[in-house]
Amino acid sequence: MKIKVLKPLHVNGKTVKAGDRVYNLEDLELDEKRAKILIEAKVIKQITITTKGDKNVNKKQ
Amino acid sequence: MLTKNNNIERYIGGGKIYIKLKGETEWREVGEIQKATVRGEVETVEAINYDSCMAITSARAPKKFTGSAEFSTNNINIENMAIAMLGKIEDVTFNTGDTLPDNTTATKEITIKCIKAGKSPIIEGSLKFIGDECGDVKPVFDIHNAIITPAEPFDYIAQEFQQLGFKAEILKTQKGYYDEYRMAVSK
Repeated sequence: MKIKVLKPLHVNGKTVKAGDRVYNLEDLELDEKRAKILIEAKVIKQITITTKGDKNVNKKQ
Repeated sequence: MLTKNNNIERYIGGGKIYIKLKGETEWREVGEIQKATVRGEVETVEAINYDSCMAITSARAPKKFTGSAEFSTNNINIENMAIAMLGKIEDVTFNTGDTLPDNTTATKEITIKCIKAGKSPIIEGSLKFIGDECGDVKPVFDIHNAIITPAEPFDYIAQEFQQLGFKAEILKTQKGYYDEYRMAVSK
C-alpha cells in the first residue's frame, strides 16, 4: 500500500510531516489495520501509483 | 589564658542531595546540584528597661526557631520537574488516530508520561545532603521532614542550562529538627 501523509504523524518518536512524499506502510511502521483507522480519520490517504502509457490507468487518489 | 584553636576544619562545598518524598521508601538522588544552602533563624522577645530616657534591652528570650533550605539543580528529569510543578506523574495512553500533545497523530498505541500540575500542592519529604570526601571530614546534613516548594520560575527558553530551584521549610519530627553529622574521612 502506498500512502501520503495529510496530517503530521508521530512515528517512533519522530514527526513525519504532511506532504506529497509517498510512503510504504513499513516506512511509517504501520500495518493495514492501523492504516485503515488513519485513512478513515483522514490523517493519511491511500494512493495508487500509475505507470506512464498504461492504458488501464487507475486514477484513484 | 588564651588557647590556640587546633580544630580547624575546612570544607569546599560539593556533594549530593537525596530526596525521599512522603510515602516513598527509597532515597532518590536529585542530581546535578548547583547550589545548596541552609538557614536557621530565631525570633526573640526582649525585655526593655525604661528606667532612663534611653531604653535598654535587659533580657532576650527565644520565642521561635525556624529552619529552611534551598537548593537548585540542572537535572530537569521528570521527577524533579514534578516537584517544581507541585504535580503528579501519570501515564497517559493514546490510541491509533488520537491527536498527541504535540498535535501529531498517533500511529499506534502510545503511553506518554505527563506531569499533572497542582495535583500535589503540598509536597512533603526528607532531604539529605551528603558532602564530598575531599576534606578530613564530610558533612551529612539530614532534614527529617520538610515542605518542599519551587523557589524560582522555570525558564523554558534560556541561553544557559535550565535550573530548577527549590525551597524547603523544615518541620520538626520525632527524630528532631535537622541534624548535621561529621563523618571522618580516612586518607
